[in-house]
Amino acid sequence: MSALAALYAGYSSLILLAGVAALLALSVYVTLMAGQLSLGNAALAAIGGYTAAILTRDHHVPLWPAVLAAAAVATAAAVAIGIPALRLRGIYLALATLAFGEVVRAAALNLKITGGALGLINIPPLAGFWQVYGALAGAALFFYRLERSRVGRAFAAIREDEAAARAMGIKVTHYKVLAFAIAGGLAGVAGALAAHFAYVITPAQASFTEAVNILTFAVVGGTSTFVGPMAGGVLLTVLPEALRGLREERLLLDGAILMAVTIYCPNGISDPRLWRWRRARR
Amino acid sequence: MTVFLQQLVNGISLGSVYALFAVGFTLVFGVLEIVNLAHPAVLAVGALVAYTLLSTLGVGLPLAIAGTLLATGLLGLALDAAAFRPLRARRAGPLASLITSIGAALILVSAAQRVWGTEPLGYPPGIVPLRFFSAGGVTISLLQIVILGTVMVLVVALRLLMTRTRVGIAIRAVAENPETASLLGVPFNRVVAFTLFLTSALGGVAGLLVGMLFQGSVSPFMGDTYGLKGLAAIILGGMGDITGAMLGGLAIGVGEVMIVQYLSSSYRDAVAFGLLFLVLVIRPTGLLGQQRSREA
Amino acid sequence: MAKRLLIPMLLIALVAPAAWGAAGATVTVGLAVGMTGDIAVYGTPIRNGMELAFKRINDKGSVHINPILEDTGGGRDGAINVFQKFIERDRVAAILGPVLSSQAFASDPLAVKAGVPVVGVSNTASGIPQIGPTVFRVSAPEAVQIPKSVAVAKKVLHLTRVVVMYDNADDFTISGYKTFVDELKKNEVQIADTITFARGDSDFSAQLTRAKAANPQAIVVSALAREGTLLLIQGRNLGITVPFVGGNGFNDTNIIKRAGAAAEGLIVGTAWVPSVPSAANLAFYDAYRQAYKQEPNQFAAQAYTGAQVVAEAIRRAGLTGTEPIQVQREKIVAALYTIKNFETPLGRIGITRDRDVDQQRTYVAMVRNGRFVELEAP
Repeated sequence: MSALAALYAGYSSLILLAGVAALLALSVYVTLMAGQLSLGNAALAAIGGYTAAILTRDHHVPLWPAVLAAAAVATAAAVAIGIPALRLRGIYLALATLAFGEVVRAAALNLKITGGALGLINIPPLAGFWQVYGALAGAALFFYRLERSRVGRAFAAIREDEAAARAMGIKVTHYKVLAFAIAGGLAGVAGALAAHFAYVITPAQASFTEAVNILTFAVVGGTSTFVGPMAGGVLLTVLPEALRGLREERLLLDGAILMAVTIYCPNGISDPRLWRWRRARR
Repeated sequence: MTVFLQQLVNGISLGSVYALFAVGFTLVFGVLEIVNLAHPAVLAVGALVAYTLLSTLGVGLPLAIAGTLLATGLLGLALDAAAFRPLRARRAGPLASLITSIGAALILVSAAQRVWGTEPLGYPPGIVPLRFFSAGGVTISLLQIVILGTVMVLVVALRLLMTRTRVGIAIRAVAENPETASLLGVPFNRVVAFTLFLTSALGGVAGLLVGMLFQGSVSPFMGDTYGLKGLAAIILGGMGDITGAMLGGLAIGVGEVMIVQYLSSSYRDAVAFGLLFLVLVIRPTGLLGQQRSREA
Repeated sequence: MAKRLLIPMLLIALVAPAAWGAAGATVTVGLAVGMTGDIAVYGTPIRNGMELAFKRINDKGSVHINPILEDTGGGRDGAINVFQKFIERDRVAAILGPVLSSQAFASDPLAVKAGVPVVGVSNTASGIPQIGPTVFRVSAPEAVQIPKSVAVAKKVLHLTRVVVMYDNADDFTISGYKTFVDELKKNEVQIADTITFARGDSDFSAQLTRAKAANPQAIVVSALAREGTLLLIQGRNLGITVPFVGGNGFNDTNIIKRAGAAAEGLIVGTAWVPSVPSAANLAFYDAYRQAYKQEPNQFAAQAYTGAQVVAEAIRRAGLTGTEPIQVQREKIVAALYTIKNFETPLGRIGITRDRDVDQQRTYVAMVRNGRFVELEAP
């Protein structure tokens, strides 16, 4: 066994969780690109996870068709809540999406098909390194192109000044719904993959805490380019495990990191200026 | 019918505590346009401080309330200085404040865990004697009366503060329009600091009251439950609107109790948040609020 | 004092030759326990029980075990991460834990895949040993305890009509609820109303008012300790005087401490009462009180038992810690099946072919004057 394989054997669940966190952070990032704050992504991921798990576990569908179905269902859900909710701005949108998340959580808790509080257990372990990081690489490539496309520029225009964007003839609502749809698809894929290496999915997947975690990945990583959310997702997943020795202080450190990053590096840890500055001093 | 009235009594005493807590959310939102997610943690700290006062130091209820007000009020000042003020200086958006408030909440909860431990605590029995008053089959306990009374006193005091004092008027001015207020010479930073003092003090007392109402539930993690209820209350009542937040809190309290009685508690959250989503989408200013537009 | 030392010294003298042979080598066992967050209520006595057992076993010297403790928190991710660390990085021979059934469903499959034996000490939901061929438990499932509590409670309280309340946000309490309903039906007790709440709730006044309105003779509850305590206290505050009959989650002396007078009359089924008449229990009870300056509870006793069972399997397998890790794991699995009629604080227990516990005697206890007292049917 090579050193790399040994490392993976010892940390695979952490490595996979980090990849999924990066995907989820990207799904929040795409709405932030268009200036929208969503707290519903955890619920969208849960919808994806449940969909895929039901397909593979009960109907023996292979992984990728199940993931695609999950993405489709989550996208549809995102568009369905997106169209009415996108009339709202800023914090109101955040609260509406939060309410949506709680409805999903309560529904998952009460429906038969989602297994109630127990959730779905014994999900076949179909997702491994290549599936998760393949999806992440695909998403990264997609964002690399998106940021440089007409759609990306439209998102940025809406984020900077919605009224001005509208005046320039950008179909604001159209682009907002598009951003929500992409977010839904990504969250659906992330949720579907996560369910297939965690063996279980439960209503807690859609909880407020989870939604806040995902947002935190993006903000700590930085939202100026797609690299930031990915870095944030990976870092904030690995860090608590790396700090396991400081067990008692874990929460405290998490909190301190969140505050320090938002206050002292407002553009996240991936801010190019932050790194340039370091290099310049050297 | 008796059961309905009984549940109404329960719902109102529960809702009154939600209301007190929600006022804190709404005032901070009014002044800063941010959602202070550390507010639930402040509620927990308030309940725990009260535990120390009531159990360890053995003081009476009035003194415990005063001590909690002061302690969590000061905590609010610290919160502003550490989490919000540096961001204001930089003119960072509400998203950054949301995140620092989450960070602050984590720090508060873990510090509280260090001081008070993780096991749920209960106040010593007999702070409010176990006594019941019945009329027509409906029972109200002395505890519920004390809680309603405390909330009412605080609400009246808050009302007077907001309408009769300079600082109250300044808060309302800032909430109305920060730029104009600033032009008129209202010291913005001091007004914000005072707002956090005030809201955290009320949140802390809400914690104490919850701790009395739900004996044995006091722990560093207790804030989580109330965070969502508080948010629900201010969405329902119209964000930034004090009266709205109170009515919203009462409505959530009564609504929850009635759903449990006549439907099933499984659907409590689904129904409550489903309605919230609809309220936001159909009438974005809340059922009661009207002063600001939330629409894009 | 001298007498106390005598027996261990004799034991050391007897097994010393064997111990010399294995000098330095130890068998590593992972303890996956949730010690931070609200789960600490269970995690603390469980950790205490396990650590006490290993300390006493190592002092005896017939086997040398190196227990490693890791905190899983109360969630599934934490349990999965800890299991992976134990299996791949620490290369443990066996794992004790995790605390909650819901965590076990997530983390135990990892151990099954790697062929690592897991012994659950507090997982009482149905379906735990069925996770896979290396998953065992020493905690009597609710399905065993509840029928007895219902039957005894029916006789003692002359039950004909009850209200059932349960936590519908936790695997273990749901599984307990289903068993309660089956047993109540079997005993022809009418269920006047069924009311739910959720793990994490603090306010039960609405549910309790509804329960009171149904006018039952007793309230049957499937809940975890925190919610159970709150139900007792708030029920009392609302003027409910009928007794509560609880599931395994109520089985904790801390409930009495916190609920005080409100806990009087509570009836629970339990795997352990302080008065279990066995030498092993007496030794455990005294050692625990001496080490931690507090009363042990059922969870501590089960954790101690789990540690004892693992140590016994290691002893029977004749492991010294020098064998390849996969051999150690396989031998422990095989040895666990051979444990029958084994003396523990829970009385004599054995491991069945289905890897479940075979506990000869479980108990029904009632709270009287602030203590769990064994309750016998008249």
